[in-house]
Amino acid sequence: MNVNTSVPESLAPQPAQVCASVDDQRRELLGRIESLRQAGALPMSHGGDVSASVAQWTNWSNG
Amino acid sequence: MPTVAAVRWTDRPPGGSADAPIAFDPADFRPRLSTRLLVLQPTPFCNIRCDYCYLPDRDDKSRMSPGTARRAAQRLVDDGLLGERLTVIWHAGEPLAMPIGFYDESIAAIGEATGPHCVVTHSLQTNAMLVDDDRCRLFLRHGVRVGVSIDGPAFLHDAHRLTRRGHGTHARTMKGIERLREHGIRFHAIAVVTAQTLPHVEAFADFFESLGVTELGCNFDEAEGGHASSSIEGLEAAHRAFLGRLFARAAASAGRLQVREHTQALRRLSGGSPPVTWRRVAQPDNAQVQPFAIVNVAWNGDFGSFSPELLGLAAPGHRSFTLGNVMHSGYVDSARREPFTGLWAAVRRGTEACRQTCAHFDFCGGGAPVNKLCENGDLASAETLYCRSMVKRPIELVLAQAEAAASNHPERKV
Repeated sequence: MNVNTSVPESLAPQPAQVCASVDDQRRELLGRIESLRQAGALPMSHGGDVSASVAQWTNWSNG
Repeated sequence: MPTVAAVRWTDRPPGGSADAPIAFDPADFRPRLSTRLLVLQPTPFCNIRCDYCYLPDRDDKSRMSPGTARRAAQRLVDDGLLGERLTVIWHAGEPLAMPIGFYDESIAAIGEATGPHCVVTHSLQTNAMLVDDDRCRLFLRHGVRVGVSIDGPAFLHDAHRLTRRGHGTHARTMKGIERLREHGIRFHAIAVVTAQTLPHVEAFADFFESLGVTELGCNFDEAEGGHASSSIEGLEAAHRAFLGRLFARAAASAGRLQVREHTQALRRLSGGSPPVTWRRVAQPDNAQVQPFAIVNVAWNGDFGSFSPELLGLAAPGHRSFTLGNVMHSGYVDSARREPFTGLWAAVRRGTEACRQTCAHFDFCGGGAPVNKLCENGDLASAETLYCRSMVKRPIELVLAQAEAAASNHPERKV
């Protein structure tokens, strides 16, 4: 599998996470979301009905 | 027709060596397969020459006929791919280079083909330089949704969006926007964000906030087709800073600045669209990896599916991503043979590679095949710059900003 191996610095695993499996990373991500949701701090979409907007379909290409 | 180098897109499971095909059966999908987006490319010709454009044949003045547009829609009906709603996007090269009469005829023909039980919305993406009163009346006559391609203030826009003689196009685009405003036509904007944009987020946000667009979409410079490399590759910390500030501006704008990537990240985190299932396995809804959810038709009737940019690309060995021609064959019928069978197997394996290797799969559903091909040389691969810039980083930024806000709120500690 020829995955892109050039991991950007901002997304590169931190030392404590180096051995984290994808499942661990997934659980950590879902945990953060759930914590925000339980605290009532998960922001909701404000206005902008993306689902009705043609902009949702034109997120490809340069131009 | 541009080719992409070192492509491996045939039947190879991730990490394996067997070349087992993956059968395509519409019955494997729930809900049933239907086309949401019909991308019609009425002419390859474009009146300008942006230096980051991926499109081939921009000097080719060939034109689609209304009969081809009708056949493209009729094939959806014949193949059982028409649902209750369909968006038609007129796109690539510059769609307003086509005569007004073409759109009147084609829109009527598509409406006749799709019938009264499908709501068809027409959209058009333009550089706005050819917008005049007659074209504004065309938009109003048919309720066409307009998107304008503009990269921000003139010093950013004119760095890349050039005439054939190398002159900037910002002033002419702004004249077209003025004409839209005079007719009361609201529009969204799509900006290509390049390395030059990243240090100027405030000027960029100021411009679009004052422009009064319904929504701003940022297409981060991608390596595709004839555009071999992205200017933001390797500048991902700067990209993060840019996007973080843009999101903060959007959140503070009281709705005056709607940024698509911000809104989409919020939607993904809020649950997004209902999942789809393939062979009873659920995955997030991602039209770019579902056969015929997006159908792309070129001026001459050649059609493709999956990522729209694939139509017009070719892999070494003369394999193309053109699945057929609407004048001669149906969409689903094309799935019985190559090149669809190899393409579908590779896209499917790419989706599974994402599931196995990406913590954000639950919010994305498999990335963008064309970016996998052009960046990784392999449709069956996983992460790309597109994933990082359009999916992962927006989600991470929204979460980080929410956590920071909560930590400053005594009742919302997380």
